[in-house]
Amino acid sequence: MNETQTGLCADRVGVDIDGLTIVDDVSLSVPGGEVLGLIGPNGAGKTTLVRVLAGVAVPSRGSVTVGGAPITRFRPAERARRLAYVPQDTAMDFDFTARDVVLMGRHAHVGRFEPLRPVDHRITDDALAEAGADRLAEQLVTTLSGGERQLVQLAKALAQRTAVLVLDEPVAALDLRHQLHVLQVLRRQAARGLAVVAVLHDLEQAARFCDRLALMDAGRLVTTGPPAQVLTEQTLAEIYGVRAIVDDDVTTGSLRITALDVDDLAVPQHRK
Amino acid sequence: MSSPAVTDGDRLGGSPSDPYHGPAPPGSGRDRRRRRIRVVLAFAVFAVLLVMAVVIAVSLGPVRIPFADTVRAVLGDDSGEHAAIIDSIRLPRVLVALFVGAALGVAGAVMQALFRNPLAEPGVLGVSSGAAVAAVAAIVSGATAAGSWVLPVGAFVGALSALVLVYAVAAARRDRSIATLLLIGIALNALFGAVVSAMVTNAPDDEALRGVVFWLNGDLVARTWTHVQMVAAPAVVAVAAVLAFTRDLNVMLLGEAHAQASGVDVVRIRRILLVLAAVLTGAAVAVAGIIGFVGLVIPHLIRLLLGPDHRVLLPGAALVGGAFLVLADLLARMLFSPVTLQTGTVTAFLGAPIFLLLVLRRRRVVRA
Repeated sequence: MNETQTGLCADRVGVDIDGLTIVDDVSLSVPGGEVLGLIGPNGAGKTTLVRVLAGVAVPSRGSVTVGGAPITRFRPAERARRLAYVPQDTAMDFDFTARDVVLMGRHAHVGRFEPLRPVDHRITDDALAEAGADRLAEQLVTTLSGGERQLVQLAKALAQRTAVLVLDEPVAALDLRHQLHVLQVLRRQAARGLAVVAVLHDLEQAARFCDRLALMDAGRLVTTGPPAQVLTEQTLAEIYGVRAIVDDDVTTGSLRITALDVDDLAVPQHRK
Repeated sequence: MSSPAVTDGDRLGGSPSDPYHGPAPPGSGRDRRRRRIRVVLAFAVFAVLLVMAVVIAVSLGPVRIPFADTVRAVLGDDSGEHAAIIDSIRLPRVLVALFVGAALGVAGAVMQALFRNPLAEPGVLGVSSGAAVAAVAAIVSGATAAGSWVLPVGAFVGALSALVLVYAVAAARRDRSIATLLLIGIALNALFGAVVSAMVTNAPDDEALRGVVFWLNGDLVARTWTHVQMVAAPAVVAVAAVLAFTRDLNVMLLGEAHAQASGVDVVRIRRILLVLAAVLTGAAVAVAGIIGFVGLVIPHLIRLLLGPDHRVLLPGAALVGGAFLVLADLLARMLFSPVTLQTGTVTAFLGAPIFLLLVLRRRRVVRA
């Protein structure tokens, strides 16, 4: 229990939007040092849950704690020093350089009437390098591809130097090399003691890079546990509506998922 | 700003064994130094431009005053033969133009940042048209006879009331997103426009009608030191206050979610900045009527020259906005002398082509 004190905890979180329940009774905890992968079909409520976990949306029910303290108790700047959040939307249409954007990750650490310090620039450089975005530093973000912008957003989150990292589909727009790179960055952050939550769509990658997976469907948490426990042929059929074979991948030592066919009969009633 | 410790571009590169990430392109540190030099040079030019604009505008008129005499008089020497003209007529008008231009430039830059839209201008939430309703009501009803302060004070109160109304409507929907505020602003602008039209159509006499038209176009005729005082205090205070939020404005350009994630109290800071922008706009409109295009074009111009960083953009918009309106007002007085154009007409004449030029020069438009 002491471990979760350093990480992120959700206790019976529920979110209603316009009378619809988007997230229902979700409890989970991510201790420092762990990568939790949040998976589930489209419309399962992952993004809404992640926004609540990140403290940028207020839940209708339940509570979220960061380092043992309720996230709603923090002012935004205090929260941003404890938890960094990378939203899905990477659109940036003003002519900042990538470095300018990453430097904004230091915003919460610098007082309103203080100038940025040399240490802020150093951390910015380090974060750019850690995210693999250092070669983009002086380019305008408006000239970057969607994937490159995603790396810049990751670097900005790393520049916040927080104990918790929450990412909404951090590898969605990336090519294969950058996907692996970002997932390795997340693993490294966990090795340093950070608690990491990431929404992921590629189930094999999720299995390989996450310590535990949390599977959501229709706003509810279906199951949480080690990848091999969560990703079974049965859950793939029930939740994703896909007939698949799950076996061990000898090369990666992780799971291999071979989707065979859409399984209409297996799709749960509410998805029809 | 940035420290010299991190200007070495090569140090930022990946290891040589990592060809994909490679070393940073050569000269990236040089790029940043060049940018900084560009900013310093630009501000030197802005400052010279502003001083020259003031001196020229004070010197030129029906009576030509030598520049040297102007400088002496402006610096407080009231022994010269033209000291009276300068002190009682020219200087107040020029100073009102300067403060109004600066206020509108900064207000426009703030609105464009908050709405993340380069088409936003100071009046986008109905602040200007709110001021117009109050001002036109004062003129048409004859309340302006009570004193020269009635019109500006009424207009200022009208401007701030419009913002209060926007927030009151937003509160009824319990939705304070920027898109909702914008939609409410559009509705209020239309409503206020209708109210003004109704009052104009039913104006009791031609005298009032002429006053209304004059005010709605924006003009700086017969400005006095009272007007200077009315605009200077709020403009200086509000610009100084806005400058405390330059970094927040930068982060907010990334969008609401990113700004929140970075620790910006988006709702609170947006409210503070909208009030400050309304004070700036209201103070400007109060003493000069509705002067268009300054708040739209000037921030664009500075952004094109120096980039979107508000630490540079806001002071730049203040200086250039002030200089622009001083020169536009000079043209209004002198261009077809003795036929005068209104200041607001000239800003539109100058502003519209400049704006088109900026639009055509935009990189993305060219690429598309």
